[in-house]
Amino acid sequence: MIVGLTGGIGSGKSTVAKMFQRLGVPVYDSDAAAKQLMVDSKPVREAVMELFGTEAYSGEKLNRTYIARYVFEDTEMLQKLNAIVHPAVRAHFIDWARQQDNPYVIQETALIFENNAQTLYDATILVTAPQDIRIQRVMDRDVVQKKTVLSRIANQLPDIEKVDKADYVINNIDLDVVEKKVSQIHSELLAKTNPR
Amino acid sequence: MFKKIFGGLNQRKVKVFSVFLLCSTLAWTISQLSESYESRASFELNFVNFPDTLLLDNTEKKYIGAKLRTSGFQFLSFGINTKKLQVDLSDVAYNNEKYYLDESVLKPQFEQQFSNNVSLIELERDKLFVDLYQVVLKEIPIKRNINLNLSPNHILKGKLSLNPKVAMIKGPSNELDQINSIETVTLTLNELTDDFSETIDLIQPEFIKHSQMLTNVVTVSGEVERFSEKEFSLPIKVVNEPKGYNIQLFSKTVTLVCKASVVALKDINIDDFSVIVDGSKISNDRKSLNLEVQQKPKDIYSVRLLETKVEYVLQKL
Repeated sequence: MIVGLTGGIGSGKSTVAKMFQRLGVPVYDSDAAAKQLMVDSKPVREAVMELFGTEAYSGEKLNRTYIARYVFEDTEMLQKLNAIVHPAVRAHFIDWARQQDNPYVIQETALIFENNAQTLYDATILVTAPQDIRIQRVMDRDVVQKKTVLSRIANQLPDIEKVDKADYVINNIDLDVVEKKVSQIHSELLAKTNPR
Repeated sequence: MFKKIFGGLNQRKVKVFSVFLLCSTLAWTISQLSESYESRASFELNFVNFPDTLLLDNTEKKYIGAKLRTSGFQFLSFGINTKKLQVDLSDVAYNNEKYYLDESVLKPQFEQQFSNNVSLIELERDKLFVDLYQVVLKEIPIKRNINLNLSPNHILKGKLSLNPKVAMIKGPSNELDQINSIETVTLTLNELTDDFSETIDLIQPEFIKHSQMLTNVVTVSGEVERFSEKEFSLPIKVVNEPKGYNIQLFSKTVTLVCKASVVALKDINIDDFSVIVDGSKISNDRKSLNLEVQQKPKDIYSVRLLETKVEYVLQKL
């Protein structure tokens, strides 16, 4: 069983993912995998260079600042980059998922509903938090200005549009509450994978 | 001819004679080496305990000769391995722009380093001149190169602690004037969830030729704690209500999100906060009043109101 874990920037996907990991669920971090594939995968690397030019890489390293400057301000470029990276990540994830020995695995990814990709999952979990809180979290975490966070949020669907599409919704504010919710979802997912 | 001589050596009598000759030579050598002699030996000098304001100018090896009385064996060992003698510079004297140690200072130092069967008769010089130069001690700020990646929902409690806070460098003032900071090697800590304390090396600036870093490592430590957020729905209090009027708010409550350590959050409750609107700020061109957090607990990271304004109506009593 494949479960998609998603949420807007600053919603606390990673916090929730860690809670599932502590319960023994294998979690695939799509963001980390995408960054890795952009460096390690030759076809992805070549396609990224074709899109952004050779400045997209400084030696063997990905020039994140250079790419970020493009994609956060130019939706078309972001879509083109996603068209390169997402299929590669999906293929990598499927390989990874096949190697896991657990009733279900989780793919943590920022964009599921934005890409109409919910059909690829057996269940989806949406992590939410009030937008003001999300903005503040990202400003604290990444030491960036509010307008930068807002431009990133603009590339994602508002929570209100995603809530109806998700199978489970976790409002990530109070960790105690979130932990209980995660535990409840975990039990439900296990029950689904092993119906009596 | 040679064939005849070599042939003769193989004879038994010659062999026995050679063995006895070797044994007697050895016995004689041992007995001679066991005797006491007066002779000279040379020693390499190793300078220690530099005064704070002095450094060695010349790093070439220095030697001193000394007349000693000891066994032949001891002289033999001095001949094979040059012994190093430590010279304590804490009592170095200065005269005529030269630093030196008198024989009266050196002799006791050396005697302490020899074994009991060695007596130091005299040194080859009555003064040992040392190439020292005046230096200053300077405290240089440490520039840390630390990448901390905290695990989600973890935060650094307070600031990173550096111990020591500054690096001590000893050297000529013209050289030290060029050093504004000393950098640490890069330390990267990932997925931090607990308090940490790491010792990291300081990088000696390349241009330092005559200075000596007295601080070579620094300990970086920090406290990490798990944080969470908690929502509180608070009633909005009105202060400074205009006389004869009642301020009707829409709405009467506001949601406040408090960020604090998981431990601290357990003890925080709604009574620890108060949110107000100030009636004195009412004006004809304003339809709403700003919400202000008037009271909040001490040990928290932040509070945030999900609404910053509230609409109102002024009612005459």
